This record gives sequence, structure tokens and C-alpha cells, in this order.
Amino acid sequence: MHAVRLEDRIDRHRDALTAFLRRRVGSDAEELSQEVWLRVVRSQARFADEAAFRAFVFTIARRLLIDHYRKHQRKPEMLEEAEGQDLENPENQLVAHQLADRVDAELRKMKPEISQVFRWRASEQVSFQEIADRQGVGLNTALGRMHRAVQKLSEALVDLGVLPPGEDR
Amino acid sequence: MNCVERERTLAWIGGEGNDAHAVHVSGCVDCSQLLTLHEEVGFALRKVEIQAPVLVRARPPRIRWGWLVLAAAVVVIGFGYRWTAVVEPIPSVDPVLLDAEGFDEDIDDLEAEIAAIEEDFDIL
Repeated sequence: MHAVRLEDRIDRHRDALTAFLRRRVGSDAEELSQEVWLRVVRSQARFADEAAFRAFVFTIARRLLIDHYRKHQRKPEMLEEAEGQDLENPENQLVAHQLADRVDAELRKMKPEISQVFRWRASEQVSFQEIADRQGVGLNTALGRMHRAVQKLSEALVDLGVLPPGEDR
Repeated sequence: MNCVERERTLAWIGGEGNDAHAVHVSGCVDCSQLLTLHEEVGFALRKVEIQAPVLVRARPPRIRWGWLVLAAAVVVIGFGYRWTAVVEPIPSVDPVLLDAEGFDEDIDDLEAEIAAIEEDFDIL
């Protein structure tokens, strides 16, 4: 009975999830949505209402998106087609370079121990425990530094107009 | 106020945690905001190549040439001052005149006393 209900729920949210993922990763959305549903089924989590179930699905999706961005960060050509953007276009190139310069400037403004965590995670996918060991600090400190770096970068991205202003940034 | 599961959520967002934690995150306002923030920043920076951190090697202590030159200058000036102080003619100073007269009288008195003592020795 539970399996049937879960299937119904998946059907109800399938299109919304795919649309959300397509906006983020383009043609990789189908593959990613399969992974989301697989994890939802495996979790065996039960939700009393539809809203809680939907929140859970999108939580899993956002979490997988972060992995996806990290894996594809150094391969921008894979995303060009997805978004209909062309980096050969000088205007897009300029925007990309401005963004890269601003991010680099923001990272340089941060305390070295904070920017280090972000750089290690983004460039080499170093585990938090490994970073904590390298910096000689506890795991929670390394996690906090990562969050601090992300927070600072989000502020810069809001200033640039790349991200919309939010309440908790 | 931050959720007590904040660090666990940050680790989970970073791909280091169990999917079961998604149940907590989806129901927690604070943790959901963390996830949204990290996902949005990740999305915005997906085409930006982040360079690995440059690790600064420990360098040997740097010689402060400025201070070294200053110290040398102080030494040279010091020696120069001393040298000029030695070779410069000593200004003439009026000698202090001793009370020679009184001194001679004292000598005379002492000689007289000695003579008297010698005489006493001769008598003995």
C-alpha cells in the first residue's frame, strides 16, 4: 500500500522536479531526477502530508545539484548547451571573466584559513576531515569556515546582481 | 537561532553524510536555508574555475636592509664624532692656581718638625 502511495506522490511531483532541475542543469535534468527518486524511495521516509514530502524531494534534489555543480565546475562546455548560452559570445565571456575576477577578489579579501577551505573544496574536492587535519582544527571549525566563505561569496553575488537579495544572506 | 544540527547539515550539504538527514533538513527552516544558500552559490559559480589555495612556504628570516644601513650610518657618525673630538685642539683652560704660598709654608713647617725630631734622635 505504501509503495502505491509513494508512486502516486512521485507522479504528482515528477514534472515540477524535472522542470526545476532543467532550469539548473539543462539536459542533465532527466538523469538527475532519476537519482532523486531513487534516493527518495531508498530513504523509506514517510510523510504525513504532501507539502512535507515535496520539501523532502526538493531537499534531496538541491543536495544532488551541489554535487553536480562541483563535478562539472571545471567543464563549463557541458552546461553551455543546457542553458542556451554561448561562451564564444564576447559579452558572455566578459560576464564570465568579471564574475571570476570578483570571486577571486572576494576570496583574497577573506582570511586565508577561510578561503583555503573553499578553494580546497571547489578545486580538489578535499573532504572536510582532510581539510580540518591540514589546518590543524576540528571538523566543525572547517565546516564553519566553509559556510562563512559561501556566505561572503553570496553577498558578493547579490551585489553583482547574480543572485537575488535574500533575507538571510 | 541556529539549529543544533547545523554542523551535521553543513557536512551533509558537502556530501559527507547520510541521506536520512534530508528528513531533518526538509523540516528545519534554518537547515533548509543553509542548503538553499549553498545550492544557489554553487549554481552561480558553476562556470567559475576556482584555483587551489597557494600554500605559502616558510621563508628564512628576511634581512631588514633599511635597519642595517641605518645602524651602519649611526656607527660611522659615532666614530666620526669621536675622531673629530680627539683631533680637535683642546680649548685652553685657565689653570687653577693653587695656593702656592700657603703650600710652601706648610712644607716649611713640616721640615721644621722633621729637623726637630732628628735633633731629638741625636740627643738620644
